[in-house]
Amino acid sequence: MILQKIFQRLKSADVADSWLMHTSVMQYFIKVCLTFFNYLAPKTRLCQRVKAGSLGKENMIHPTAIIDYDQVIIGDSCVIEGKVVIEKNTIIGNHVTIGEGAVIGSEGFELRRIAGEIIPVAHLGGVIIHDNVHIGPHACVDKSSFSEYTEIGDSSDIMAAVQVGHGIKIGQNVIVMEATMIGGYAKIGNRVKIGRRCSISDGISLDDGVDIPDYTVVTREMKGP
Amino acid sequence: MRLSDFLPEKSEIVRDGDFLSLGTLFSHYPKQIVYAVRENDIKKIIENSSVSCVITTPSLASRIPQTIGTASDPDPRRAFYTLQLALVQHPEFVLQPFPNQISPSAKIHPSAVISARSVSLGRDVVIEKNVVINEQTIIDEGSIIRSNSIIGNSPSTPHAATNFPVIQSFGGVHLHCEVDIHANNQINRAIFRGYTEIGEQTKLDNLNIIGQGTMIGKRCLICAGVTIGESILVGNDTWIGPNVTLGNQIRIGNNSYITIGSTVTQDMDDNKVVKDNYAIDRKRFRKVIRGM
Repeated sequence: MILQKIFQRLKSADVADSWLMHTSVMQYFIKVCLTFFNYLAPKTRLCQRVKAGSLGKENMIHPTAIIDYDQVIIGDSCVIEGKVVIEKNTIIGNHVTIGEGAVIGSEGFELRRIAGEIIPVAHLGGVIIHDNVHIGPHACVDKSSFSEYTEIGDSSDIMAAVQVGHGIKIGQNVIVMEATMIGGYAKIGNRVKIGRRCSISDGISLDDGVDIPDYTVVTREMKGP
Repeated sequence: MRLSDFLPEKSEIVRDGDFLSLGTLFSHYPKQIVYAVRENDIKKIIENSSVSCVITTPSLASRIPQTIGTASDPDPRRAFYTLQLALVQHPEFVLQPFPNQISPSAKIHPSAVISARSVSLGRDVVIEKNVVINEQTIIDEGSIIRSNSIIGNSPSTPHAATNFPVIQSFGGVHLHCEVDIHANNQINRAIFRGYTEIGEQTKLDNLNIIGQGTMIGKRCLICAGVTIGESILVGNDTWIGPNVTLGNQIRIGNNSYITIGSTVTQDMDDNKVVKDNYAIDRKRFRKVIRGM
């Protein structure tokens, strides 16, 4: 939690644009810190929440699906189709359907340009998929950074080829239609409907009951009806 | 090879010439043949000294320099692909196969499918679950290919509706050092004797499609859902936002910034921001945003 607060403070506009952060000494210092964090963090088990995996009853899991059973919790009556990849630190509820070729819990896209180089930030979080969720074929749900979770609420429907970025909180009864991209750390309320091939900017929040038509680019917060 | 020997039926010869390889407007293969569709392409042909033959539309054929062999066709792109298909039998136009060179320090998941020949994996390459790596793929050290990605698949063309020939790829894919390719990506191999290239430290998010013959520079960040067309040059330090579409045969300048959901169909200079469909100077854009 402390690490996450420090990181969010560093990312905020007033700190990131200040002259102090652009000095070469500070850039070098941040680069060393990040490289050290990336090296050390995956080796410790402090931030990894799911320490023992479990599998419920009456699940239909295709033999070609690749699941890290040691660190994945799966509930009852789930359907997991072929070529699905479920990485560690994922918690899946009951009656969940995951379509063919979907990737749950892969690395998020968090990269920093420091001192003329690109340095990734290692992700240690996970994914929580609540009950009755349907995830379409070839959808991607990334895991969150630090010890947070990417969450998809009850009875939500994520359709084919949707990208759910890192750290997103999706509420209940949400419909996200095909080929929509949702940027990182967005907050989506309950009963939201998002059309086909929409682009939703990172870090924004959509209130309950918002209806977004097809092919829309959303870059600001939206208030509900 | 003479241009007149391999020309498709409907094309007319304006000026005959020799060629040794196929290429794009931005590549530098010896004596290459390219196609040109727009007026901007003429400028690129004059700047590129490797071009020796051009297939272009009848209206643009008169503007090609006298030293370059020229053929005219109502649909130059289709003529180029038909010519490419006629060159299958000639071994000098096809990348030669070589035995697999896989470094012992490369981590390959057992479910990954790697071609039996012509694959080179460098030091510390990580290949994750269900990845497919086709022939003529070179991956340099420190690169990561994440789950369900396909590297080096043949590009698809709309051959059923528009009489396009079915493509056979001769080329490959070259990923340089520390390239990170996330889940569900597709990178097409080049159709000519050359490579689709992705530069050092470039990172791709999920669900991208990269067209054949595209050259992406160093340290680019490409977000999710980006569709990049064929034969594009993307400069260094570029940011490409989510759901962006880039058209065929264009040049994206260095240090440019393409915002979320944009469509780019024309050339972009260095240091520009694309917002929706308009390019703005990057410094001016920053001033306007700060003034708000």
